[in-house]
Amino acid sequence: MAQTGEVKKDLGSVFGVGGKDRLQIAVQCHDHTMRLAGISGKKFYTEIESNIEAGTLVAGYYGFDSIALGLDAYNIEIEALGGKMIYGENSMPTIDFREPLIKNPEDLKRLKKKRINFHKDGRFPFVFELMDRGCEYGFSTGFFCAPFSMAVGMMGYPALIKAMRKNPQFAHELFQFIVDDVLVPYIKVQNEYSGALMAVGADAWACIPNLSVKEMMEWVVPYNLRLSKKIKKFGVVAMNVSGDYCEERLEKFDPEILHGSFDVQIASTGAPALFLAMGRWHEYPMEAVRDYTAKYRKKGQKVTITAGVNARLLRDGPAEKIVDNIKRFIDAFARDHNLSIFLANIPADAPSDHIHAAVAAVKTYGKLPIADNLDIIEFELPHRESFNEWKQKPTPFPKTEVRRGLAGLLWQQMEPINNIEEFKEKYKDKTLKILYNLTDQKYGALITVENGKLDVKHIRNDKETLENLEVDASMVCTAELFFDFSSGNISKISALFKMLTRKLKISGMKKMKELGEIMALLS
Amino acid sequence: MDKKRVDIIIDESDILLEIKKAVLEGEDDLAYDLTQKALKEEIESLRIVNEGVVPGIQEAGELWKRNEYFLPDVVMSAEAFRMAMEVVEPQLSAEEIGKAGKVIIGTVAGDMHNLGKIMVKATLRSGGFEVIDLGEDVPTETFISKVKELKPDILGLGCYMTTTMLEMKEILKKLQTEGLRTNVKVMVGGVPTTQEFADEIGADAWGKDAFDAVEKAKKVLGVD
Repeated sequence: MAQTGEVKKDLGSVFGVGGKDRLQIAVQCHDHTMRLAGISGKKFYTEIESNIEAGTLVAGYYGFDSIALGLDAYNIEIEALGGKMIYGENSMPTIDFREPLIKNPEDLKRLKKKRINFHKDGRFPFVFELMDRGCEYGFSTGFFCAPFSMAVGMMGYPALIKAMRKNPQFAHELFQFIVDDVLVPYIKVQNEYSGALMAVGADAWACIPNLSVKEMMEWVVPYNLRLSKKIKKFGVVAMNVSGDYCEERLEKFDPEILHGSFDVQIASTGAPALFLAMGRWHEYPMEAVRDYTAKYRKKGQKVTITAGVNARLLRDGPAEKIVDNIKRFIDAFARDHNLSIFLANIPADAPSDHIHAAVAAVKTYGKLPIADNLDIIEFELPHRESFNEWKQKPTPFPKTEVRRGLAGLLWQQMEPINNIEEFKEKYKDKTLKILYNLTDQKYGALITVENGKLDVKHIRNDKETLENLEVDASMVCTAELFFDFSSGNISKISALFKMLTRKLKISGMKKMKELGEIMALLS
Repeated sequence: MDKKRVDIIIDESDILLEIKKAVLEGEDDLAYDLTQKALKEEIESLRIVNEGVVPGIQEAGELWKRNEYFLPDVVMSAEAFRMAMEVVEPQLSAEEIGKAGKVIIGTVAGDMHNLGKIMVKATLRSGGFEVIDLGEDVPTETFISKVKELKPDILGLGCYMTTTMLEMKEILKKLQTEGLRTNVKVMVGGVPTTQEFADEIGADAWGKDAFDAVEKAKKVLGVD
């Protein structure tokens, strides 16, 4: 059976879908999409149709594995709370740090009294709509600004740091407010709206050298965990992307600090997943990452690595250097880690040739199984038409079947099974139908195996749908219990007790086991 | 802080050392009080700056380079530096304030981020530059008119976003068409910028971080 630990550690799949015969490409591309599509900032960040259309076109042009969704993740909550924003004609909206939302403890008191409508305020509806439409292109996750970055957005970085050092009681009060009164209700509404069971928290401010490892352990991790614990109650898994290593001066690169930042990442998510996002990974030694993951490899565990190609490299190039960076990532990590390549915050005016080169490099060197010697693989830099020429006869990023909630998460893990010959052969004449009914969610997941093909669909959790459904096996429980059970975080005795008290109902044990055997083929 | 601690320091070199320590450790209120006390004790203002305030932030820079300080430490140190300078700067002569040169600095249009600018301002001032801060979201026209009006040695442009960095290109073009380019050195900085970008738009220097910025500023003007 699909393990929730797998759901959490497979962070790369949060950003990228499809293309399971090779490594996946994840992208953060909003500025570039906006500029390439020639749309104003105001329109791109407020109008769904413009945003989606531009995203599908740009993703189609480059051949990305996911739609280039555009969202200014650090602004949404603050804008809804009344923070002043600046909308530039050609730029992403930005918080007006001259007039921060919180200048002193009195402002926090006032803010606590403010009634926030998490359905309607600011651009919350834009986000819900974006998530909803994103489902049509394979996205099934929510988005939020992680606690530390939101605190920076509310106060400005210097004032927040000063508060953390000189008035820690107030700073802790602020972080608690952010988690308990802003993020928990906001993520709950996202879950109710779209069924998303995973939410990704952007946390670029919580990185090296913006904070030391010690400071992140004291101020970032506890609030990430507080959030995770609270939203797990209504079945949502949080993935806070905190603890990135972004040292700019190469002479300051320090493996010990890097490893500390990895500790922060893992402590924040509870999963062996590393994000090498915005650092100078074209210059840092990759061996330092392998040194860290050695302890997992020794235990036979594959650490998930989302390896970021630096934004400045994507802009400045040359293309050969970008290709070399990707090739080295693949050579260093792809054979014994779960690797995906991340094109990090592609700059607005990055030359298209550079992006095409990056995509081609992943598609060439990242074919599975990874070749023993990447040097013998032939690679030619692609020469492509311009975006405007391509747009004359465009092939936008294709829609996919909408899979909400658990179905979306399971599909991301299970889809590759369809490429495995052993599975196709073994199940060409067999059928299997298994239902996961998450009682506190709008949607459950129905897994079917038929004619050597596995599929996952979302199923509405209403009486009529469920009554008319014939399945070989089912598991009925809350989302929280499902995640605990499937990730092995619940003892056998406790599981038995839950079954006796009817909090966990499992039927068709034999078929459930069979699904587990199918999933084992993936490893 | 401790008022008592300020009161008991009587020796001049002790006060200067304490000022340095307060700036280094980011104790802004203490740095302010000690600097006031130093002036009251009639310690020469230039000495307070050169032997107390500036060495404090310079040492913070050294610790930053050695990974012993992280950004919060440097930000706090810069704030303590600013507070101390607020006290002592009115006592300095015009020559003493800007002996290394005059810099106009601002974040380009559409960009509200100011953290980098705050840091660069502090390090430039510690390097003997007079710094005139035009603020954030500064329109191109304002940069141009201020260059005309104030005749700085250096124009410093900052940004945080890949969209707003493109404004820098426009400012450089405008300086050229207005015939101002040869009169002023242009430095750029900010998260999305690189040396390659600086070269591409024809800037004279790129600051990797605040401590690099002051070194580059001295270099482009040929001052020690």
